[in-house]
Amino acid sequence: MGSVRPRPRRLLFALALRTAGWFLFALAAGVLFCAIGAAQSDQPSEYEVKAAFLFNFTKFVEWPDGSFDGPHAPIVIGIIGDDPFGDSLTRIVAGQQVQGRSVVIRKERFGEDLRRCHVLFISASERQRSAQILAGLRDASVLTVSDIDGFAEAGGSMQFVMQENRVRFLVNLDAATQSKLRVSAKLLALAQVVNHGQAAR
Amino acid sequence: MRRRLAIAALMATTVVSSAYAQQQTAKLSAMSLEDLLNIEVTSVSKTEQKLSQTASAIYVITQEDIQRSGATNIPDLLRMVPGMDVGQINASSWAISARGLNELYSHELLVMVDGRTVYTPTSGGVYWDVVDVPLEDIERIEVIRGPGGSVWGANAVNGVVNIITKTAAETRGAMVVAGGGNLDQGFGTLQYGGSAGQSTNYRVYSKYFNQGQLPSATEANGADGWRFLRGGFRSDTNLSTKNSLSFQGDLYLGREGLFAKSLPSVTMPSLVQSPEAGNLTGGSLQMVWKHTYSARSDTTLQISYDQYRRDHILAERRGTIGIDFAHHLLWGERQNVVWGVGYRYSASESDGSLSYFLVPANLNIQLFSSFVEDEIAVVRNRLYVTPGAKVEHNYYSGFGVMPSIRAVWLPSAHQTVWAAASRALRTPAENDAAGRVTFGGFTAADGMPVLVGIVGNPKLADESFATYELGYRTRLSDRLSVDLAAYYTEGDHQETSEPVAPFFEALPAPAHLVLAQENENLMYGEAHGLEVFATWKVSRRLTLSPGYAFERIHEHLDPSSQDTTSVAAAEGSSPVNSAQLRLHLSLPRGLAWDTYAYFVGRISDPVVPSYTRLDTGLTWQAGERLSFSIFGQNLLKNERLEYVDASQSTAFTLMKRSAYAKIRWVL
Repeated sequence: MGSVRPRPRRLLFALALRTAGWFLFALAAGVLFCAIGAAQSDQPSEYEVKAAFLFNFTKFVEWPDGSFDGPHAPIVIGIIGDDPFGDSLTRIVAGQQVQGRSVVIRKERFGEDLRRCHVLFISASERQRSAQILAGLRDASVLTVSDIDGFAEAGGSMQFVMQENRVRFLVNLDAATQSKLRVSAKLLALAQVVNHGQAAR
Repeated sequence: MRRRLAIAALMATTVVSSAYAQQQTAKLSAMSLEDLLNIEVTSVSKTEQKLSQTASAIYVITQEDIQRSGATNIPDLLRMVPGMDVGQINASSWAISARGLNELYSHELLVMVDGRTVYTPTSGGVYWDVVDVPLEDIERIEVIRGPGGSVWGANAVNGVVNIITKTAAETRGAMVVAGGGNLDQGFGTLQYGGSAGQSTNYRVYSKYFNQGQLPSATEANGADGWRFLRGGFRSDTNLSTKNSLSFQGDLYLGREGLFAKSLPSVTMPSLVQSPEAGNLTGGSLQMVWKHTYSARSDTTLQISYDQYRRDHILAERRGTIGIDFAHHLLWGERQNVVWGVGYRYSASESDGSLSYFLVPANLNIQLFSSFVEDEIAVVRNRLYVTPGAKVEHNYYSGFGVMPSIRAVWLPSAHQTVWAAASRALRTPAENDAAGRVTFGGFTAADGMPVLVGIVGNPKLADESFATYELGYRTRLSDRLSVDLAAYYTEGDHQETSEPVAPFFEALPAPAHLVLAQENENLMYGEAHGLEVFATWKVSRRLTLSPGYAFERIHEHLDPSSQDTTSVAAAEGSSPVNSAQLRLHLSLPRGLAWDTYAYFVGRISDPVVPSYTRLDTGLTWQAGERLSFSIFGQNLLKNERLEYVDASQSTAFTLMKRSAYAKIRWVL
């Protein structure tokens, strides 16, 4: 221990780097060509599509008067829990105007005032707490959206479901109405409508 | 120059891909609801997504991979991981490491079953013959090549293998698995999973196998047949929304044969090789309590007990208690912190034999550890930096610090670039510090018996390794993903054998002279290598998964060293090149055809020629509950040498062609 000894380190390190460099070069070149070739046929991911849906929902929902601070106040999409969208949601809403308003994305935390959102996406990581979150938003004009199983039946406004690798959505009309949200007929026509606890069927 | 080109190419790829991502989101935001409903999406699971953003060379073996591989034991499953070195010595012994430094009981690899470490403090290695669970119950096996010391502690130098079993809720119902063939003569699993009350699920299982003998170099029967009976359970209870409790345990009983080498007596000091069979018994019990304080904070307490008895050469018994506590919290807006403390107490007894014993024969050792890791979102969803460190105190070498820093850059949703620098330690095991190995001996001219061997060194220091890694992962399209990892490691204070002054010993009688070598830390070296693998869904039915690994190790001795074997052993214990190719073809009517080819380059110390192993099998899923499969293993060459234990303590046998049929019925 602690003995001083000559170490042919620079030489070996250079050798190692050169070998690694060769490989990286060859592989990166291969990857580049594949990327260009493959880029055309790529499919979007589940959450890129869900992000596009979230943005689209804002076009087909009317919030009651007084939900916005002013005529040009932005529409706020909140995300609670682990954000599954990466940067796709931010990219999709960037520079877009809906009903004369811009759209902003906000990360929310449990325990904070979620009523300032117009749309709230409840991530699957909040599964255990989703009932609590919904209870806290009762009578608030927030469109709650999630892909947690049974979310719409449990009183959420909208729920994403996957069918044959396509994104579908359920609407709980009772929940939306209770939140004083007006959902356009166009959106309803494309959704599967469920009612709270299936009671009103 | 070439390096600059490579970096330029890498950056160009990144730019192309992220430009593409931008273009795609622009397209998506312009789409109508009807269009969105019709668009087909890729199905990447959460775990997959998370794993693809990990800042280490991780590889995951899924339950699907396990079913397709036809492997009947865990070591065979690890062959599919590029960069893993798996060498079977005989029917029940394996040398398994990652990124080199392989040997029987290789001690640079940390292996865990549901978070419980299973290496033995005796050698620091793993008794792979007793690491087993019903393969159908494995959720996934996470394999990390490279150091993981800052979280998992000493011995996680070259890799970490974590076998994660399914929760009891996922294995409800009865399952019967039965099969047999020419080598795996009979095997089967009986399992029942159910629920007790509203919040508890459980399963109980028993598993048996009987494997025949492999041929030895000289005889048709290598005396290495073995059989095991194992029973176990797991229960998972949700006590409340905030508390969950899980218990699991198993017991096993087995008998395995080998050609044992032993010294009959001091006056007849030449090794005698004879077939013998030994009993192995053991079991484990563990409890995990998870408590969630809030979405931002949760804790895990894990208490485990593990006991085994092996009637082989050392005739050892050991019991180990481990307690680990970890706290995970989101701190502020940007930090994801995990910290924890751990304690382990291990008590062992051994009878030993003249050719191998421990001094002292009985020993109780303790291990204390604590770690902290903080993932910092420098730019959220873009750049994360994770510094971390573990401090351990062990019985032999005292305190050791294992720091690491890792960074992940996500240029787009489909790409991950990661880099890491870490220091890992390999602490002395009982074998290094207290082992007495005798190779043989002779009678001197004056009639005095002389024994030749190795004596352990209780003052042995930690081997330390500094590793620099760089990796890139990309999902080029829905059909093709590529994973690349390159590393450079510097090792220091690595173990050597140095001659010590001969000494007299009175016991065992008669008095004799010992010509011994002692373990010292007088070797240092460098290793570099690269691993790459891809998954290519050629069509709806055909998937190809090629993998390749390159590794090279250079070792040097301190000028004061007189060691003659350690350099060659460390440099030549694993192949320079290895490659894998997996082919999965799903056919109509529930049929699937799988082929696995593994190429392993020449191993130079001890010499094993390069070889290719080929496994193939056909599975018929007859409805949801019933499946039949036939598998052929090691089809290319019969009686093939695969790995030789350099210490010669465990005799090698030859791999033979084999086939089996299996039925699996879920009720």
